Amino acid sequence: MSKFLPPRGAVVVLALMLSSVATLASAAEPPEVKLVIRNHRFVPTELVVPANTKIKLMVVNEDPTPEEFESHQLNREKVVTGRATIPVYVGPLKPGRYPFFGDFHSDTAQGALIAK
Amino acid sequence: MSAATPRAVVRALFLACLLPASHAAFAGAADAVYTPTVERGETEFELRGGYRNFDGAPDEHAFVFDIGYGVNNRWRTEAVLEYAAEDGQPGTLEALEWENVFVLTEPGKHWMDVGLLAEYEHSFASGPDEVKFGPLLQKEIGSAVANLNFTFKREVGSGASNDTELDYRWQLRWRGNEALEWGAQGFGELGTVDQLGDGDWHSAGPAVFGVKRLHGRDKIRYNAAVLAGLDRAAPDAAVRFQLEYEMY
Repeated sequence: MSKFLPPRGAVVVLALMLSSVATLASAAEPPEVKLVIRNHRFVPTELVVPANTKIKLMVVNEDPTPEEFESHQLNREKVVTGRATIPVYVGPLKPGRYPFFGDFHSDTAQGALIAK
Repeated sequence: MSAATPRAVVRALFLACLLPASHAAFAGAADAVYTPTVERGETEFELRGGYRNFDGAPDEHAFVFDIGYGVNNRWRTEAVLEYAAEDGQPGTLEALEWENVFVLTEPGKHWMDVGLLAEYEHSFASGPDEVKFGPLLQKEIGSAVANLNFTFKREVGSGASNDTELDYRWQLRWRGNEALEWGAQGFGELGTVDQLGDGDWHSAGPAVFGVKRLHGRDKIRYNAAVLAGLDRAAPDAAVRFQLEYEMY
């Protein structure tokens, strides 16, 4: 078996990618908004957030079962395990209403972000 | 620069419908655009297919069947079986791949989302295996989502070439009705990393995307494209599709 040595070009590209990630990671955090999942419902069901601003949505699942925060309008799908918290970054959003739902209990877990 | 004629595109579409019965291909015909997104706990069954029509060279077609699992919100691992054939030859199972997608940045947190694709491909034919790796980039632009992949490919094992090849794939998808969205895709090769531009080819064309929600939490996700060659080395016309069944 021949020895695998990454070519110089590949190393340079990967190094640039990783340095970009490191640079991005140092960016300032956007404002946080808390969203709770309780009894398979979102609390509150509607959240007013500032328009044209990136938001860090902290999804707190108080239920013992997992849930998936999902929104086609926000282009997000992310699973939060039972009794756990996940960040979901959205926006900047134009003014409007952006529905989201819990994919594991979509009959009850419905909500929306209102960007104003 | 050769442009695909409408007749070649229609022919490619027709032959794509007959893929199981026809002879042709290369697994590259069934290549897909990857996104730096993973869903924890999701099991995915995927079928991809593609057909490439060349002027003066054997046509190609390929199928890929894939089973994947989202280990966590940062890592999806997949087992991939490739079937491929060239014009006039019987099709064969070509390779078994172990494919991994890593999410390096939290989606939406930064100016651009970044992931990493890492694959090991074991060829069933006598000859070297192949390692593939490269960045997966994603940028949301208003209601559109743009993706760009670069993939470095290098043979490993007995008889392996010392060359590392670089290819790319991209797509642009306008978010709207999730059942049917419009966009474009492009695929191409850039040559070897020490001689970029030698032997390169490029193709692009319109694409459709969509998701159908089933009872329970399952989903069917699809995308398909018709591609036209943008230079003489590219396939004159190609069609490709990707069908995923997602379940928890």
